Amino acid sequence: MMFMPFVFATLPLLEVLLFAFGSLFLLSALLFDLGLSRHSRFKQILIKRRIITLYSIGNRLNLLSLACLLVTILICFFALPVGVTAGIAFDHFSLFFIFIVVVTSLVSHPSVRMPLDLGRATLLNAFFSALLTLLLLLVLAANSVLLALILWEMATFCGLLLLAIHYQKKSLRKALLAYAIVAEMGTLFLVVALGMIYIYSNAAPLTPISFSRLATLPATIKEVVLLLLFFGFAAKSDLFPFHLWAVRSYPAIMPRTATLFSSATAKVAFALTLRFYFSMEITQSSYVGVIIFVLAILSIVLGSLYTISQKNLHRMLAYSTVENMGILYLGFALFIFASSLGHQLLMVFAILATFFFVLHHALSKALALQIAGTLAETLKRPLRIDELGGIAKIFPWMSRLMLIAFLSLMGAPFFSGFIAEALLLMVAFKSMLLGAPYILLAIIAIFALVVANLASIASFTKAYTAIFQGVQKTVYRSSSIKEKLYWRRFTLYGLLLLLGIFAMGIFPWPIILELQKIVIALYPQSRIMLSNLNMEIAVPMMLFSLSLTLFFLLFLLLKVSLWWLLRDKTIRRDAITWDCGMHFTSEARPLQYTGTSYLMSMITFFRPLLFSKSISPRIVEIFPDKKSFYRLQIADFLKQPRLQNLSYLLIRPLKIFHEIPRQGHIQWSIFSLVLALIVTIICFVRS
Amino acid sequence: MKHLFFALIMIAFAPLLMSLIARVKAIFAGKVGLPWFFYYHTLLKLLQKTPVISMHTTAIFTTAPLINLAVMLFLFAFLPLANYRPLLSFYGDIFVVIAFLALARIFSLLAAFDTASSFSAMGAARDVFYSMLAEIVLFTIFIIFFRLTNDLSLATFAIEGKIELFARSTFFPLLLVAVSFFMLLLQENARVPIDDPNTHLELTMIDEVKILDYSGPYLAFMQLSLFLKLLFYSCFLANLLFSQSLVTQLCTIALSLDSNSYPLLYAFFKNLIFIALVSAIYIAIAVIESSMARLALKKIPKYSLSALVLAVLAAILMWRNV
Repeated sequence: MMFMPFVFATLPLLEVLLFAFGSLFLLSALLFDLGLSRHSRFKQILIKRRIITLYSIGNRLNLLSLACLLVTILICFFALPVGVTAGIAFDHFSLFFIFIVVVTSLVSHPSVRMPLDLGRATLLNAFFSALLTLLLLLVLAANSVLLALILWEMATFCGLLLLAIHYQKKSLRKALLAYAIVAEMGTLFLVVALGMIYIYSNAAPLTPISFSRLATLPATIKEVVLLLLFFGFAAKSDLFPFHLWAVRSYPAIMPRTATLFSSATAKVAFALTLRFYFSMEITQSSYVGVIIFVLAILSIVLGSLYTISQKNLHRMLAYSTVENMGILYLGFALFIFASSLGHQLLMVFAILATFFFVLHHALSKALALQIAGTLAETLKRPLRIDELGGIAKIFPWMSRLMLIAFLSLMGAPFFSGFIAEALLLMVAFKSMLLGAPYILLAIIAIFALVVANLASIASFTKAYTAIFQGVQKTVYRSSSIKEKLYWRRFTLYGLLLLLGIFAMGIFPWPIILELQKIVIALYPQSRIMLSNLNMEIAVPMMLFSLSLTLFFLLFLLLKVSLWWLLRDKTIRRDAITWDCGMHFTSEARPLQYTGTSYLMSMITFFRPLLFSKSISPRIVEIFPDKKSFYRLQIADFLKQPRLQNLSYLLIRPLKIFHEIPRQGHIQWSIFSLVLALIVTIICFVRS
Repeated sequence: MKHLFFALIMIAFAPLLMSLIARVKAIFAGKVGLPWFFYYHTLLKLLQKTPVISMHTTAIFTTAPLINLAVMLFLFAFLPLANYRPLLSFYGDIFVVIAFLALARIFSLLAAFDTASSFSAMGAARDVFYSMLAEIVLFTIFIIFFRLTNDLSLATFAIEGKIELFARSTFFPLLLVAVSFFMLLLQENARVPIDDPNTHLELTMIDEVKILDYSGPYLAFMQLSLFLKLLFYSCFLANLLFSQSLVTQLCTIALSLDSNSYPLLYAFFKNLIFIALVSAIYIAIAVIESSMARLALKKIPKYSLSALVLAVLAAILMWRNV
C-alpha cells in the first residue's frame, strides 16, 4: 500500500511523457514541412514521405498514450482511497478533469491511417492540438499556483495559434481578434490576482506557492482574488460576455479544435476556478456568488435564445456551449449561496450536481461536435441548416449517433442530460428553502434552467429535422459521398456512448457515488453531509433506474403487439407523402419546411431579446431573378449598434497595439504577456 | 395494486370519456351524437388495417407512435388516482414525468418532419412553440406545490393533504392554480380555444396535422396516446379538486357509511367520486368547445401568458399565506 501513491503518480506521468514524445514527432513533421520549399522537387517528394511517416508515428504514439492514460486514470480513480492525494496533485478532482480532457482528445483524435495528402493546416492542427492537450493535462496536475497559471496561459496561447491556422478565412480573423482581446483581458485579471496572492501571502518573488497556502490570505482579499480569478478563467470558458470568439470560430475551425475548446478547455477553466475557490477556504462570499449568478443566468438565457435562431449547426452548438457553461456556473453560484448560509447539505448537493453536468456536457457535446465536424468535412460545405436535408439516408450511422447526442443535450430520459438537468433543478428547488433573499434567485434559476431545456429541445429538433430528415433541399453529389466512419472512430464513439451518456442516463446512482469522491477531495468536511445526501437521493435514483426498466418493458410489449398485428400484412413503404396533391415533397420540388420557418414563431415572440431585424425589400420586377427576398438578421447581443459604440470606446485603445504591426495578433499577445510579467515583477518588488 | 387496478380501469375508460365530450357537444348542437363506443370501434378498425408509409420516412416515423403510447401508459404509474399511492413514487418524480412527456413530444416532432411534408411540419412548428409556453406555466405551478409540500413528488402533491383546494387558507391561490392548470390542459391537448379537433382544414390544425401521414395501427397508437394524454392531465386536475377529508365526510354524513366498517363500499364511492370529477372535467371541455370558437393562432401566446399570470398571482397569494 505504501507504493500505491507512487504508482498512481508515476504511471500517468510516464504516459504523459509518451504523449509528449509523440507530439515531438508531430513537431518534427511540421518543421520538415516548413522547410519543404527550399528543396528540389525530387527531394520534396522524399521529404513529403518522411513527413507522412513522422505524422503517422506521432499520431499513433499519441493515440496509444491517450488510451493507456485513460485506462490508468480510471484505475487510479477507482483504486485511490477517498481523500488521498497521490504525488503531483493527483487527487480525485484532478483525475476527473484529466479524464475529461483525455476522453475529449481521444474521441477527437484524427485517423491514424496514412493520409495521402497532408496539408500544412493538418500538421499545424495536429501539433497544436496535441500541445493544447498536453498543457491542459499539466495544468490539472500542477501543484503550484504560479505553475498552474503559467501553463494555463500557455494553453491559451496555444488556442490562439490553433485559431490562427485558418487565418485565410475572414470569419476566423474576426474570431481571432475577439479571442486575442478576451484572452488578454483574462490574462490581466489573472496576473492581478496572482500579484495579490504573492503580496498578501508574503511569498518571495517567483517562489512556488502551493494551493494549500491560499487559505492563509485575509478574508476580504480572498473574495477579491476569487472574483479576479473567476473573470480570468471565465474569459476562456465561453461564458457571456466572452463568447463571441467561440461563436465565430466554431464553423471555421477543424472538428478536433472545436471539440477541445468546448469540452476540454472550458471545463479546465471551470476546474481551475473551483480549485482556487476551495483552496482559499472561503466561507462568506455571497456578493461574488451574485456576480457569478448574474453572468450565468445571462449566459443561459441569451445562449438559449441565440441557439434557437442560428442557421449554422456549428454556431448553434457554440451557443449551446455558452448556455451549458452558464448552467455549470449557475450550479457553482447556488453552491456559494448555500455555503454563505452554512447549508451543508445543499452545498454538497449543488457541487455534486455540477460535476454530473460537467461530465454530461463534455461527453455529449464532444460527440455532437465531432459528428458535425466529420459531416462538414465529408460534404465539403458548411452545415447551413436550411440548405441540407435527408442526410440520414446517406449517413445512417452518423445520423443515429447525432440523434443520441442531441437527445442527451435535450435532456431526454435514458440519456445523461436528463439526470444532469434534473439534479440541478432539484438543487434550484431546494435553494428556495434558503430564505428570503435567495428565494427569488432560486426561482430565477429554475426558470433559466427550464428555458434552457425548452430552447435546446426546440433548437436541436430543428437541427435534426432540417439536416437529417425529409428530402434533400440542395442537390449535392450524394452518389459520390459515402459514410466515412472508420471502425476505430466508431468504436470510440460507441465506447463514449455506452460508458458515458447511456450509463449516466440509465444507472446514475453508481456514477453519483463515484463523483462524491471528487467532492471529498475538494472539501473533506463533506463526508457526513454526503452520507445524509445519499439517504435522500439514493432511493429516488435507484427507483428511477427501475422505472426506466418498466418503460422499456412497456415499449417492448407494444413493439411485439405491433409485430403481431402486422404479421401477415404487406406494408407499403413507397407512398408519396400527403400533400394535397401538389407533390411538394418530390425530389424536383422539395417545398418542405425549413429550420428557420419551424422556429419562426418562437423567434418572433422573443424578438425584443434577440434584436432581430427582418429585411423585405419591395419587389419591383414582374419576374424577379432572385429566389428569395425576405431575410431575417439576428445579430448577437454584443454586436448591437448601441453596444458596439460603447465597446468601440473601450476597445479603441487596445486596437493601437494591433495597428503598430499590421498583422499584430500574435505580437499583441506577446506584448501583453510581457506587460503581465512586468506587473507581476512590480508586485514582487512591492512585497 | 389498488392503484394499478384503478389506473387500468381509467385507461380503459379513456376512449369512452372522449365519447362523452362528443355526446355533450351533440346535445349543445341538438344532435343525437356518436355512439358511446364509437372510439373503441375506430381504434379496433385502425388496428386491423394495413398501414401505408411515405417513401421519405426513416425508422423514427414508425418508432414515434410506440414511444408516444408507451410514455402515456408509463406516466400513469406515477400519477396518484383517487388518493391511491402510485406504483412508482420518489423524490423528484415530477421531473421524470415532464421529461417523458417531452420525450413523447420530441419523437412526434421528429416524426412530423420525417415525411418531408409541409403540413405536418407546420403542426410541429406550432406545437413546439406553444408547448414551450405551457411548460413554463407547469413549472410555476410546481413551484407553488413545492412551496406547500417541500417535496417534488406527484404522490405527495396529491395524497399528503397539504394541497387542499377547500382549505380556508389556500382556497383562492389553489383555485387560481386549478384554473391555470385547466387552461394548460386545453392547450397541451389541443382543444378549443387553442385547436379544434373536429376541423378538416389542415392549415389551422396543431395536433392532428402532425399525424396526417399515419395510417393503420400506427394511427391507432397515436390516437390512443392522445386520448391518454388528455386523461392524464384530467386526472392530475381531478387530484387537485379531490379532497380525502371531504369524501370521508360525505360518506359518513350523507350516506352514513363508515370507512372502517365497509371498506369496499367506501372505496367504491371514493372511486366513483373521482371518476365523476374526471367526467366533470371532460364535460367542462365539451361545454367550452360548444360555446366558443377557437382563438386565432396569433392570440395563443396571449392565452398561455394569461395562464402564466394566473399561476404567478397564485404564487404571490400563496407566499402571503404560507
